[in-house]
Amino acid sequence: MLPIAEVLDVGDLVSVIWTSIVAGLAVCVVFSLAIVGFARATDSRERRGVAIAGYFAMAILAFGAVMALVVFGVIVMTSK
Amino acid sequence: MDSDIILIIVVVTALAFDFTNGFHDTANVVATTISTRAMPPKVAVGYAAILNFFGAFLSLEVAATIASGIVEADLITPLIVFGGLIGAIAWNLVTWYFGLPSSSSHALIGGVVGAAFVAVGPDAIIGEGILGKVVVPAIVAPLLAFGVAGLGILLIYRIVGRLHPGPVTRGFRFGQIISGGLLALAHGTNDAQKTMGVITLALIASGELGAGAEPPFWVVASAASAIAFGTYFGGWRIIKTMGSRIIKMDAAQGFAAQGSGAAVILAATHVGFPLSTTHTISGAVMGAGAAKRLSAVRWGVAGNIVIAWILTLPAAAGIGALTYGVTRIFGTGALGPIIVSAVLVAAIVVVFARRLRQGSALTAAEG
Repeated sequence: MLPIAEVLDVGDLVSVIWTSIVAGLAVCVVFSLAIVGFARATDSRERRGVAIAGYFAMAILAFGAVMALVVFGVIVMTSK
Repeated sequence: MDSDIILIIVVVTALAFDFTNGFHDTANVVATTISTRAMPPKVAVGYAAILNFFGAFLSLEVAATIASGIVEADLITPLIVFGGLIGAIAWNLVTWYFGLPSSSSHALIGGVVGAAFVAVGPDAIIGEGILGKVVVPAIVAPLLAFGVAGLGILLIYRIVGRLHPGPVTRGFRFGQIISGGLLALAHGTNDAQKTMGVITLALIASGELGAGAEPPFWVVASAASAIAFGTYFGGWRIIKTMGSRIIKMDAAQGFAAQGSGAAVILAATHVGFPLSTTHTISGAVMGAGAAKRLSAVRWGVAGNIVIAWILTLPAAAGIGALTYGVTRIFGTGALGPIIVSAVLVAAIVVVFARRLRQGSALTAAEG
């Protein structure tokens, strides 16, 4: 029976696991926040200008963060 | 003369494998996009095909050629590569026939391992390589994607749960177009390179290129075109399995599956850990479904998929070994590969004709 450390790099495996968890959850959370921001900002029942601006800013920032993650993903592909 | 014919046959067979790779793996990219109606089926496969094509040009690091670290590279001959390719193509078609998503990379590795085993013997096989580069990643990929997508969808529901469903569904459908595009690019980058590696290896082995040469432009362009054309052709039977037979998903689940899947694949790419796109996305789809409700996942279908994953390596190895054995009956010349290729093409025509007679194999309606 071969020890696991002899057939694969355990450090790489751990790195993949934690990076996947952080990146995957970040994508889900940040894109959800973008949807919340856009939905609240365009909600016809919302009358307060400050709140609308705040939600809109949140949506733009969150969407920008998602796009930054996408660009980072393309950089990872091109630089491997 | 014989070596030139063998080279041409290997190149054509490699491009045929590339086509089946795109055809077979379309589902990874578009299945959830189609099932949640984020895009119409034909538009989705066209979008995936274009991004697969451009993805193939993003990186040309083909140093890690076919089955590197799994079989002894200096023992590989064009006939072994041919046997491996036939094993992979045949297994891809068998799993397509049954609508089961399985790893094209593992099929190619299995085919080459089987052919190398028959040609050279057990000394050609690096057991640690199979364990570290195939078996462990095949266990890690679906479990990791299952967990990340499951947690992701729970967080999504918590954050958007109080909003009207309309904007939420539209938002996540838009998100699926982005995450699906990223997956298609990643697929083109990873998988087209395998074909480029196979063809480059054959060109080096035949003396057409020097050792360590980069793939010529025609190799890159033809591999990109073959995988894009295969993707556009669309493996609708597998798309149906991935998109609606495992779970009936909403747009948020589709986004969680694709976004988490893309994150896992890119994290693995970044570290250089070999994970299968198919295993990852299948695990993510199951995770996004199970986190909402365990009974939402059709575990019978999921079980069949896992059985196909387990069988991929030995089955493709068996076909690769058989192909090599049959080829060698006719010597080391071109006759063997010509006869095997003719038999395979005839078998494919019969299978496709049978599916077409049954009326639903290749239509977008199944998506």
